Amino acid sequence: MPTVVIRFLGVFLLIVVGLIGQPSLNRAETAGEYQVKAAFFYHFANFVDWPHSTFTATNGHLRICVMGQDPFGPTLDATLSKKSVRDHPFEILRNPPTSNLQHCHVLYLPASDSSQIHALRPHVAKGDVLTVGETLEFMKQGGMVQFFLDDQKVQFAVNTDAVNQTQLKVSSKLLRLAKIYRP
Amino acid sequence: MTHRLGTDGFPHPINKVAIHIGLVSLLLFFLAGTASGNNVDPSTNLDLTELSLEELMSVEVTSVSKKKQKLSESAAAIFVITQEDIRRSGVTSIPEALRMVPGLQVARNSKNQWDITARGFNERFTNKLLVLIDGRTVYNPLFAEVTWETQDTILEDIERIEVIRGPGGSLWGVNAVNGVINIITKKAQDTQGLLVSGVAGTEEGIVSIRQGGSHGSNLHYRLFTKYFNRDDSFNAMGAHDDTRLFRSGFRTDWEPASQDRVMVQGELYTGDGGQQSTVATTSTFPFGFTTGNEDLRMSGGHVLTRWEHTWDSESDMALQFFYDRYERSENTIKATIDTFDVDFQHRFGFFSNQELLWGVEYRYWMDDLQNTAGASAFPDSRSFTLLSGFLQDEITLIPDFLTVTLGTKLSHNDFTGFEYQPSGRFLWKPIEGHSVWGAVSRAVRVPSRLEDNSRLTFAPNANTPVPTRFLGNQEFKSEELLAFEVGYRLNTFERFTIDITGFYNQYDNVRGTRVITLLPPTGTLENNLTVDTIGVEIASDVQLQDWWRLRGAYTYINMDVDGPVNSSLNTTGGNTPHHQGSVRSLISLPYQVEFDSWIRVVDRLSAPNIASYVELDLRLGWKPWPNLDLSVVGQNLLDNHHPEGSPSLFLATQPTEVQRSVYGKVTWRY
Repeated sequence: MPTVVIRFLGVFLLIVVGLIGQPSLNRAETAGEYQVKAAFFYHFANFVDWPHSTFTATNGHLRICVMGQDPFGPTLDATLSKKSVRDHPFEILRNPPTSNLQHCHVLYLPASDSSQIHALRPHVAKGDVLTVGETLEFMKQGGMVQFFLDDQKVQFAVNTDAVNQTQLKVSSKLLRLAKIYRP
Repeated sequence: MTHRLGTDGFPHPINKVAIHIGLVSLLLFFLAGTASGNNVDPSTNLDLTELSLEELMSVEVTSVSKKKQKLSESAAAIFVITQEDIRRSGVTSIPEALRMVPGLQVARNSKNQWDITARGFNERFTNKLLVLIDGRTVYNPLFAEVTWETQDTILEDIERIEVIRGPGGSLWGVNAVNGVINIITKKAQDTQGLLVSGVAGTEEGIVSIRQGGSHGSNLHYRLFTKYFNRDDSFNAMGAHDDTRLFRSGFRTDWEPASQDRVMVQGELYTGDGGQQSTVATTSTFPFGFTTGNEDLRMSGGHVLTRWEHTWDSESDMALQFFYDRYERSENTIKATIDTFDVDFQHRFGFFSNQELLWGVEYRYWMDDLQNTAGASAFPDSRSFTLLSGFLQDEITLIPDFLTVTLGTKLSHNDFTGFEYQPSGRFLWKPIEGHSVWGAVSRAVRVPSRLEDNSRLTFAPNANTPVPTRFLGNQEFKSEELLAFEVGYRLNTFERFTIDITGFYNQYDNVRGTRVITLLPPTGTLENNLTVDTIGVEIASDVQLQDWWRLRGAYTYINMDVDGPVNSSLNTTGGNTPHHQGSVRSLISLPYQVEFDSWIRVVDRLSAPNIASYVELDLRLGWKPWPNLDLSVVGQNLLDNHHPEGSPSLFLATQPTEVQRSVYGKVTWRY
């Protein structure tokens, strides 16, 4: 074997041996975008107060309605199905009839269906529904919460004017972390 | 199972085969669709709701679109040239940027021609490298080579260039024997607004204009045009290698839904160049030759569309179609080639620890040649089909510790019939930040059009001491490679990373030459060489200070060529340097000033005899306003001129020498 190769193999081995014992630095955690977004719903439910009348019972379901094409796959159910917030277990409904939308606590519109908010608003306006979407267009049309990515991290914006038109109470902690949307 | 074409150029049992493979694929597709439908995301056992909202907001997400594989997590020798690398290296063309990659041999043959290869066998018509631009194979089936002189775009619009050394055979095309170069341009949404860039210097002038825009929130586009004019380089007998190229194109990215992306791009180019050549005037003995300057014309274009659909982070698919037109005219050869290509890929996870990637590709091309005394191919117009499929299973044996990838590609081509190219890889991460990988793979390089059936007449040159006529060989087989690779990567520390790869390659049936008759001197091409190569490649990145970064690369390669005498033994191994090293220093100074330097050392070549050289590039950049970039760059500063390239076996063109150059550049964005 040529001496150059032997020399480099030597260097290689030295580096491996020398560094293998070194403690590793903490690396930024990574996860799938929709896994993270699913967990956000848990926190939204925690930091938003719905009127008691919106629940069928004191331990009634907190209904999350996903409209259009569901980008979560099985993730949303896996994240929330065994969880509850203030004794309200989560219930996930996909594309319920529009006449029932007022009974949703959270209504989520994926980016592909953002423009639908315009058509859905009259139905939603009959109840106290936190609307969550993915695009700026969604917010312009009166959506309440928008996910966006900043430097590969999921952030969110809140349209306080739209929230204030309902009986929903958003905690100041949530607002402090949110980017406030101004039309 | 070998199906060969007759001289009529028409097939053969491929049609039946195609139908069967088509049906099987369709079946597979439905099976796969069901599988992905039932697929359960294995990573959901990680409970993110336990994180506080603040913590959740600082989790970096991997996009749902194609799972981005971290560099440290690939079981292959990968090097990525980023946009920042391109900008700060001061290069004005894609081939020049490739000089920073360990394991690649890059030699400038003339102002308009390049010799580029990975892991040896360098020459003008390097045939063991696959180059893709945004998924489009840039492959000239006449010589099985890449016509580098016409591969270009606005350099600011390149997102990155991924270079994978070693056989990518299980996933990529039939000439991905020694490496794959993947040039990826930015999405249209990342190139919005106007960009105007101008380069003026002693060797070249370049103007680039790009305008990006959007329609609604999910349709983005860009239009671009670029022109360059490069002047003669040096040759004692006169170089005559000045070249100009004008290109114009567009790219549109449309995201109708969060899970669908449609990309359409197209481009046209036209240009000319020159060379010094010795061209045969008659192909009968005694041969006549004329030496002189000649002009060559090149033009072409392509249109490509790709649809990507994502089901979830574990499964997605891509369907791609492209058409490419290639036209080239010079004294020895005039050719047009039309290529149609359809490519489908599908990825899905199953059994919680496996990820399957499979795909099928169908390519059809037809060419039209004007035969000359110097170079003729028979028949002068011919069409070909290439059908290939691949299957790769990535098995996570122990999460974050050990992954094994098994795959194979099966393809059918018109020259040698069926070819299989399996590979097995592992990635072992003993400790966070350290990874060790290894691979054993088989790859083949299928014959080119000219190797199969042609007549080439050469003046005396480095390969043949007397005027010689070469005939193609219809029995020419695929060149075969069995490759063994190991690698180690360290990226525990933010300020220091190192990537070391070692390989041992065994080639069989490598192209050599054989004398048929001494009078008239006639030779043919034959698979009569065996080659063993061994090599080490090192890339390292050191952040010495926040403002000072060093990037180094070193390559060692030794080629051991064995075969009968008079079989081009010397030239096969002799045009690859044993040692190559380069160090780039990137210094960021106050007031938005950058000072970058790049030293390259390249060992001598033995055949042809080319001396070793050391070259230095310097760049001084200044960004007085956020939308204005100014720079002054000196390239190849240590010599007035130095030779790099070797003459080719196929076309007797005269390599020229690379000259010192200085240029100024202005880039304005609005």
